[in-house]
Amino acid sequence: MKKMTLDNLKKFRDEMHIPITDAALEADPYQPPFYHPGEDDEAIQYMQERRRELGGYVPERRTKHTHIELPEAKTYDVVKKGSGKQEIATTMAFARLLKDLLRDKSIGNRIVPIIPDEARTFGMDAYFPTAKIYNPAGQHYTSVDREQLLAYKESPQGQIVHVGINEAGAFAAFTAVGTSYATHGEPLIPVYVFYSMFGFQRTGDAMWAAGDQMARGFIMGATAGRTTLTGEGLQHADGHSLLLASTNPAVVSYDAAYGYELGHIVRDGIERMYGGKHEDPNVMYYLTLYNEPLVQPAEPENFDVEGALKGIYHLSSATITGPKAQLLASGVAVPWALEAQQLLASDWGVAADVWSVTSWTELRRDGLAAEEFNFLNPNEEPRVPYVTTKLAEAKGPFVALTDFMHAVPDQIRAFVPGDFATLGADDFGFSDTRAAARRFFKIDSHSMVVRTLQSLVKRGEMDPAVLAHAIEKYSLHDVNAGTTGSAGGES
Amino acid sequence: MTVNDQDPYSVTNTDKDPEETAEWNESLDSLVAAQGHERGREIMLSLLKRSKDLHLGVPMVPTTDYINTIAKEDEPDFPGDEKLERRYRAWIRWNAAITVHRAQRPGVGVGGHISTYASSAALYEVGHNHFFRGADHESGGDQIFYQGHASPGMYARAFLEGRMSEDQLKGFRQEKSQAPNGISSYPHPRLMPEFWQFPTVSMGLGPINAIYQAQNNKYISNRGIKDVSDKQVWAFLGDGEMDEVESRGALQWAANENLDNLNFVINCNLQRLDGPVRGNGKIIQELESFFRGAGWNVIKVVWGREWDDLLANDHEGALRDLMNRTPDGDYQTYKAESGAYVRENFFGRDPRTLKMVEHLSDDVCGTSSAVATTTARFTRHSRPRTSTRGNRLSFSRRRSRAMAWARASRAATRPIR
Repeated sequence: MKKMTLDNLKKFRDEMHIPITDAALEADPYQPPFYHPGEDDEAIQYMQERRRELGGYVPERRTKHTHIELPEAKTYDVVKKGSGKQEIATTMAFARLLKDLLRDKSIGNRIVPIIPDEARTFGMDAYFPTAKIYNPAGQHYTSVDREQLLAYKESPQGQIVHVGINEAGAFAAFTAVGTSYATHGEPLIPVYVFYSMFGFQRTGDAMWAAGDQMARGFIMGATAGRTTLTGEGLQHADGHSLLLASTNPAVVSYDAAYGYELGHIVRDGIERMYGGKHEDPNVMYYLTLYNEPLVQPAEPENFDVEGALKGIYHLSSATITGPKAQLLASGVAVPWALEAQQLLASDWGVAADVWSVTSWTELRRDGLAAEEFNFLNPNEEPRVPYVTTKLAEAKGPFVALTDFMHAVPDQIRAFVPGDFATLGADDFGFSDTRAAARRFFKIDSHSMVVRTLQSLVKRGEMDPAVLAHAIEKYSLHDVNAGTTGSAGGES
Repeated sequence: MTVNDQDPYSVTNTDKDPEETAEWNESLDSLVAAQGHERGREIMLSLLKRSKDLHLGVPMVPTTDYINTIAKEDEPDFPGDEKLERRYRAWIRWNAAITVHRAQRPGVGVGGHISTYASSAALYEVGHNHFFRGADHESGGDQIFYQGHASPGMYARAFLEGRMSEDQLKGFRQEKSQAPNGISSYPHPRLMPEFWQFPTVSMGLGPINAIYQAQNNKYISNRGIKDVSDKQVWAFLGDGEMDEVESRGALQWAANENLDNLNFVINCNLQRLDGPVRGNGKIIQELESFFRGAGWNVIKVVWGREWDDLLANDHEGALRDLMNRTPDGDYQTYKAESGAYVRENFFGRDPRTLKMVEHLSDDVCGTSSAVATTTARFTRHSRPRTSTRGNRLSFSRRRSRAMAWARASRAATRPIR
């Protein structure tokens, strides 16, 4: 019954014993009066008394919560100094950072790692012995791995919420934990770590609802990238979670290349969501993590923290003079761009700079906000998108590279001040070596070199003949000629 | 015909020796008469155990009859002033309906649902008047997942409570154009951050989120962050919604985690948008079986007090049998048809039941209390009763609209499945 006629209204009024006259209903059958007998009415008094007795009105949402001290900057130091000569993936770098955060006196016990299996893949079994796995019943069996250093330890006081192979449940747990600041007045920091393919793609609707519920916390898309989770193939190769993440207005997403970037992003996230000072703390941070081992560089001197947090910073300058080009890359693709920079210099005399784009999506959101401001405020000083300002002095064509589909870097196309080309992996993934997969999708270092040369040719800055030469030199059509990426890594 | 009433070990249910069977039944009857329900239960449990030892293959029957779980004689008196509560429940229903009706007027036409709240008003009101605890309660307050489409009812109540204005009711579903008085279509904390706690209108997410909310309450308490172990989580759901995989996919989790702080209330109106939830089957029976199998305690409330006399006089179990065999699709039809139709097609299926209603007129069969419980138009005649026994609610059934109250419980300590 969605629409009521005048007769329906009268009959319903009689059934509900509402003291409203026929005349009042006839006056405007589309807008009948509401009924309230006044607060002194016996029934209303009774109703109020029932609620007083039961502790106040429902539903009601409160957000007053316990204040928590945030960790000092040095708590995040472990990822600053790099990994020395050891090759570790960003997943492992994050696991080390989280280990230190779990030990932090102020927030350590408020961090809730949530894992739908694969903790061991992500190096998070390191917390099993100390943080333990939450189980209200404890552990009433003799664990098969009890002799192991990182044995499976369950406890009613366990900190890790391990939901089994169950992403829907894991995200429901994330939502409850991430809204504890409101539901219970106790802020908790959920850190949900999972195969990135099974995040936004599988539980996107739950993530949307969590945004509605104003959950706060970290969503960690491990084994990210279309070609980085080598061997696992089509169903596991994530080349689009960043794009899906961009559709959720409550999600702030980053595609970090190195541990030190992660350190600043995590710190910024904790301060924004839990520091009590940001005007919009009701967000979730989505961070991609990769499983490809590489030497994690130490944080550069004079590191552009602001740039990294806003979405882009200058990572490496050309060391030669020649035609200029700008290489933009994110995540696991940043080292490929650095290799392309070297090849462009040594093979073609091109002087390329490399930029690490930590968040294509945040740059786009900033750009759109600037456009809208200018659209609605013609008399004001026009705003310039952050990325436009950042790249204003950069010379030469821009070429963007990620281990995601083209649409991810294409998000900033409108705001790049110059020729802009993107490389991406748009098709279903498949199982193969990283090098072969990257060559197949033409997202490896050599592909970036050739794409850059093409942009320079188009601008008239290089001889068109170099293109065929370069394709031949690198055997660009041969997947077996690809060399970008190492083997190994947990999956 | 009942769903899940199967016996996998026998092809036929024919009784080879009805006389001998009757003797066994009489023995049980006299035992219960002499020593009470508890002793009868003990003997039955003991016999069931023995039947397992003897490998008789007695099937586990996960469903009970299609009647109320809590017998009439076990129901305590209503703890409040039923008359007053009914009075303002009608006001809430009026204001909820008018809220939607006004939002439907030409030139606005933003829609809204009336019947979801209309069909569940009694449930919510018993909760609001007697069960749901607010944030100032010493427990810290309960977490209630309201069925999204019932939102106008909650607004209408807030209006009577004086915490929502008439202008806000007028701003239903016009959040920007009636700002600052616009109120949201469904429960959306982001849009009404001081009112709604839980977004529920993506079907299936309410139930699974409620389960993990209950787990979170235990987790926080167990870890010593805050003692919230006395809070209860309530999820109000529809029978159609229970077909979402998220609705049922984590039920075992609730049992394994021993979430005795979790309550699902499933309002089974037998109806989806497009048709019956289970035309050929019985959704209440299916859910009973499913939840019980997953380790939950299930309380069914199927029939209103208007049926008490008929059921009390059902000495041969003919009416009960009829109730058990009638598929949901037929119940829906009875709801829409006349009393004469109900007499002929429901009671008339068995001469014994036909006789049971011979003293009632067709008019009574169709419109008044005795038989009216099969028809939707008698919603307002229903009278809720609550039972606090075992900290659970029970309502008199309101016609074909029935509720299965399921509560997570410790499966291991429940001797009978």
